[in-house]
Amino acid sequence: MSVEPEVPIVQVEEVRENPVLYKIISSDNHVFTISEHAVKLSKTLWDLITNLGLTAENALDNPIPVENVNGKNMETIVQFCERHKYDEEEPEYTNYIREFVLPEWDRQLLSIDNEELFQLILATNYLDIQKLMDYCCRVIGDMAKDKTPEELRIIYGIPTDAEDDALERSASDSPGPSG
Amino acid sequence: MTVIPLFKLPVLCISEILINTDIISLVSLSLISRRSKQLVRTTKTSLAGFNIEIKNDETQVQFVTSEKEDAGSWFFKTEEKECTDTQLMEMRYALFVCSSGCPFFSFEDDVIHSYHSANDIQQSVKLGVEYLRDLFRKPILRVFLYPDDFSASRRPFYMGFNECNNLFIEGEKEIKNEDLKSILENLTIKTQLALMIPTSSSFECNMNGFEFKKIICLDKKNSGHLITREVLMSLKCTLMQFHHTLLTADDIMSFFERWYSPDFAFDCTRGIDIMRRDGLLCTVINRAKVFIFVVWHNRFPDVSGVSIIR
Repeated sequence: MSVEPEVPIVQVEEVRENPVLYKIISSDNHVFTISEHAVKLSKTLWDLITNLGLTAENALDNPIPVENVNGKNMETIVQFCERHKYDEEEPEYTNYIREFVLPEWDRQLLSIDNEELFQLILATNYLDIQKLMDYCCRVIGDMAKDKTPEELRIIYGIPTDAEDDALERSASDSPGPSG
Repeated sequence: MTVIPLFKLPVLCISEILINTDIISLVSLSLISRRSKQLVRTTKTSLAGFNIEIKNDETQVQFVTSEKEDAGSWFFKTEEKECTDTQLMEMRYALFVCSSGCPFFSFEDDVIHSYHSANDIQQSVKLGVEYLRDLFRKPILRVFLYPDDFSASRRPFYMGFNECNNLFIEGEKEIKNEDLKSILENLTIKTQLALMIPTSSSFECNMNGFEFKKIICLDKKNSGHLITREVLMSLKCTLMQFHHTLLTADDIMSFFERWYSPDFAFDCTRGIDIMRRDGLLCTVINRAKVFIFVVWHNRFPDVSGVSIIR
């Protein structure tokens, strides 16, 4: 595992109070430290840590590479996890009701460009962080409010029926793998 | 502003986003394309059903969720409007809810307004209600009908649905017998019929087939006039509440007597007896409008004190 020496280590302020730290390396070789409580919010990372047998003693010497997430998204994710590491576990939602209110801090954190939000939600999905996924989805869902079909079509990049049909035709016309 | 390419997200993410999207926005999303409609159709929502309020100049479809009685509404309005360029863009999405005219939509504060010509509104309401029922597959919970001053073009009152859980009819003017008959014969009311409107004592309708368990006639003068002795005796409700009926003490007594001694028996002496291979006997009687089939599990029942219907 090679880490570019000139890349700065990103320290999120809340991390310092926690003695057990892990290192994560983003796809663009940024290194992040994250506390044990915070990293547990990511099912993927925590499974990885458990499977690798990382402990308080050897964690900082064994950075975890995350190829699918760039430094910018990882920074947001680490901030989010540190912020919510002591949150009480939320009850399972029933009957498809999402009653949570998106906290202002999180709304600010997720007030980013749509392209960044798209990449963040992919990263969140990969790292399996349910709470951040809920919050991202709420932000994206809220974008639909008071929008006409045409406005929504543009925001969500939804192809029209004609575009879908054309795509289907070109897919069926194109030669298969053997052609 | 850049785009969030919804369909390029993993399926689970799309599903989470749609669960976090309000009902009105889901309707808007569904109107974009066949694919987006299919996506909304498969989304789990907290929608419990619809309430429909029908007035002469507009029909309101209200969305009821398990947590909110009013989670948004769609108003179908009779109003000719000049379209702006932007609204013209929206017209292609109106095809689902309008067969001929060119309505346009506005989406604001959890409310959709769509505007239709007087000639087009009935068909648009029909298409719109059918569209919503197909999209969410939820029942019509309550229908509120205000038939005063309805123009001929707004009949029949019920469009796009043929059953509901509860029907409330309210008005100041006496509802025409043919209107009420048409409603009761064409609309399956599953739970409750509430009449808060004057009715006529000349109303005739066979209520034997009705499913509703509650009937309430109240508030308005003459609201219970349709409850004649025949109607009363034919109702099979578990709750009946009548104000201003023309029922007499004798009518009530007849109803009570039927409850007090419900036993009756048919005179089968002129029927045809048929015996099955295992010895079980039945009698078949064919009368005008009535076919009686009796199986004698007890060959000689005690009929003392029972009224015989001949």
